[in-house]
Amino acid sequence: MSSHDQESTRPLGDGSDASLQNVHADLTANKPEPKDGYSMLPLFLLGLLSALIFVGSIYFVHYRGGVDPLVYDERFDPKTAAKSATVATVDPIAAGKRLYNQPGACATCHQVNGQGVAGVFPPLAASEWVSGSDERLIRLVLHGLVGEIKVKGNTYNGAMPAFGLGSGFNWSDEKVAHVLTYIRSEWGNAAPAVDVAKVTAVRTQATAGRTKPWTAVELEAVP
Amino acid sequence: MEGASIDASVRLPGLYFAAAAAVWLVVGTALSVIAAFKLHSPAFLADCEWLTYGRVRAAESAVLVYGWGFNAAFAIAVWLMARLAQAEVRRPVTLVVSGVFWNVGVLLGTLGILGGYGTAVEGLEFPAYVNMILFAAYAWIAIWALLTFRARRSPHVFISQWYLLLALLWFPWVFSLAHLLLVVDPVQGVMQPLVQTWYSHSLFLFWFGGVGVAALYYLAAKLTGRSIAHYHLSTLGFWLLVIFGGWAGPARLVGAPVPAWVVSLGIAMSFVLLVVVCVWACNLVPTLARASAAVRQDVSYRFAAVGVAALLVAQVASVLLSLRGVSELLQFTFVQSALAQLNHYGFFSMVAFGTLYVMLPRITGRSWPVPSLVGFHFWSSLLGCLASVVALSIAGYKQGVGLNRLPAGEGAVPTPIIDVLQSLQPYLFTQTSAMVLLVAGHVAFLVNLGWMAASCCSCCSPASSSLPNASKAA
Amino acid sequence: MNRIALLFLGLFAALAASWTGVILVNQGSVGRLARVVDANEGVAFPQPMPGLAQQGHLVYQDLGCAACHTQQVRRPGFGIDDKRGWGERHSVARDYLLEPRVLIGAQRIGPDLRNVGQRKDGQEGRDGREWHYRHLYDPQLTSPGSVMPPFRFLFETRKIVGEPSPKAIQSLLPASSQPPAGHEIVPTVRAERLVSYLLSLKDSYAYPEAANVYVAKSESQGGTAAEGAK
Repeated sequence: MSSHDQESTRPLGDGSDASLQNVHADLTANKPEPKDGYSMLPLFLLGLLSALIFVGSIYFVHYRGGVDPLVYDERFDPKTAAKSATVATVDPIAAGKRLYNQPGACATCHQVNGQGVAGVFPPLAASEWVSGSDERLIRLVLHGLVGEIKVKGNTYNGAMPAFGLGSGFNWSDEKVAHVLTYIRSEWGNAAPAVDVAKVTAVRTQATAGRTKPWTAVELEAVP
Repeated sequence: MEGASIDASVRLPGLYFAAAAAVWLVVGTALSVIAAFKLHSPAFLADCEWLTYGRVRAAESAVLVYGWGFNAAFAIAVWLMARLAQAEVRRPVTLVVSGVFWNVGVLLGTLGILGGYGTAVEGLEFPAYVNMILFAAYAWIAIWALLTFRARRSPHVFISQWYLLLALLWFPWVFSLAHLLLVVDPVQGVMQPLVQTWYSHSLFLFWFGGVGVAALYYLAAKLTGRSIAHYHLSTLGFWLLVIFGGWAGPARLVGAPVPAWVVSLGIAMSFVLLVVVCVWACNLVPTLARASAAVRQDVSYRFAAVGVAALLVAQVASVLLSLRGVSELLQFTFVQSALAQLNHYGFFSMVAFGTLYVMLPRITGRSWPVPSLVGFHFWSSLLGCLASVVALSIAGYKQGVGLNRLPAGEGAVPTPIIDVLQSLQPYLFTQTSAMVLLVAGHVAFLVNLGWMAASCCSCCSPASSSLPNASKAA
Repeated sequence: MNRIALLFLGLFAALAASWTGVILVNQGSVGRLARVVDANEGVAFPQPMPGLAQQGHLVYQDLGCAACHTQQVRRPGFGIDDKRGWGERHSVARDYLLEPRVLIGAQRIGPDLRNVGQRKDGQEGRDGREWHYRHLYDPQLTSPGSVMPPFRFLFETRKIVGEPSPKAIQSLLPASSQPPAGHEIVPTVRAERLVSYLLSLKDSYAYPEAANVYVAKSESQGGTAAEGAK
């Protein structure tokens, strides 16, 4: 160890800052010749560096948590974890009820109890339109309705606004599906739920490009 | 170029920064004593809102960092830059003027914290407007140091200069970014702790680490009169530190609600810093070990040796403490305070003392008025720091076990936190005593320095620029 | 000269790299987290703090409470925060979304306070307020042996003029702390704000990402099998 030290440092001459700079400049320019055992140190450091970079990489890969901003447990891997945990479950009936009762939306005309107003706004409870074909119902809500319509034997003449994407309400397909599922299961109605995918399909394929409201006659032509 | 005229050009700013640093050091450690005392006697000064524990803690760390640490670092950086460039500092008075601005900023900031206007961001506690003053003052001082570097007469750039450039250039960036993202327009949610650790880690690793390591390389060579051992490795250590150091900050946030990958990346990067520690050890330890018996008696040598030991221990300890298994037990405990103290006091402050003890006699041309106070300062600093770090480490370990482990036995319930803290009382009391010892040493340093400055100022006139005795040692 | 240019460039590149990797990348993801709209309740979480609590947050900040109290619950199995009753679940980034100053803290000289509003809620008197007043006035009353300092300066002893204040707290204090006759002790506005803030601290909403925890192999298989059976 001591002989090794003697080779590794040199006297600084007169000890001034100038000689400090000169000696170190010389050391940088002319690296000390490797003698026995002397060149081991850089090799050792290089080995240590590679080993630590290797260990560090393994550590990071092992504990990267999917490099996901929402993972706080380093051992969690979003790829292998059960998918169900991350999908938030939405109750379409509760969500639909809230939409239905939103100020300015359905309940304004059809009333909270779904009975409508006799002679002015048709009822939804026990309505053949509501419990019937979901294809018609989706179109009706997406784009609205004008003109005469016959519900439960009574004829109404009014206008219903459009609710779908792009309309004044700009409801997403999820919202449309939720509200339809709600009215089809409330007030004694017992029709099957409306699928979000079906709403999307109707909006983007069957009725793509449509902006004007439907008439009852047009809708009756839909299966 | 004669060393004497260079030293003379640093005399005014060097003395000013050193004196300001010493005053802040006494103030800061006095605040530490108050805070430490409150930990075992909570009713102490409790009715004074300005001195409530949370504010004293914040003010203490701000004073020790921005008051003591920065002033000492400015003194060292300006002197080393001038010395190694072998160029005089031009218009030193402007440095003093910006130094006055800096210290007014620190004073306003400290009063702001004690008055309840602090930002509560760890490491950036000062009220927002203070940071502007600090930044402007800093920019002026740093530009002056860089101009001195530019005027260098030596073609070789010694490793100390590399580290000084690192410190001088890195700080304004991290400081202004942290100020913008935390104080001016705070980022959202947990981005705040992330930016904060990035800043405070950079501050300690690159600013205090940079200036401290620069001073160590210089002291090691100058005091022993020999070149740095394995000098060609020093640049490797430098670049590894620069490349990997900035990433390691978030390792402190283990278990916090920040993305797990940032923390893992920080821990992985901090592994590589162990190579830097090895390089420092290979450069500094053999060089210092070559010192003659006479040099070993020198107080600067002793301070430098303690500083190297603390630097190596602190860096290895911080890597170990960031490991998740260790963090689980020791995060949020006094072990972290012990590590901070080892870093800021054991390493940086000791190195700063060592450098100031070499520098001040040379720039003033006077020897220390009371040599016995110098020895007292060294021993009180060493023993005080050692006692405090050991006491805090033991207290922290017990705190960690009490807080994070269930007592043995079937159906055991966690130990109440009050009982855990009560069991630490003897260690916390030891820590208070250690801090009192530190204050005594710092007062000795201040008295010695004040005396030296007074005698230097009283007879300094433009005519008597030829320097007597001590400066010849350069 | 060239080497110096290289040095400057290298320093800058390293700084920029760590800045990008640690801050910028996260700013793009964590920094842009949005509130979660619960479709069932029709409410976005986290919900904003009540006004009084927001002002109390500033009191918490200026008194430096974060020097001793963390506000981050670590996950079960990592420490024993759950067994100490510091929270039903570990903290997630979204919990802090609306806080102007995030004080997760770094020292636990006192208990974690992330869910303190839940712990003291309704325990004594009206919504735990009285417990906090007693605790702030003198921690030894509620937690003997505590190292927390008393915060008497958050209370005011004043002469009763006319009707006694309904907010007066001396009836909660022991005989030794009673004010002189004809006087009462009332919490200052800052104390009221601080306590409102403390009572507002509760992370009860289960964000989807709170479920992103590692489950040991055998358990996770059992879990998926059970879900499949449903």
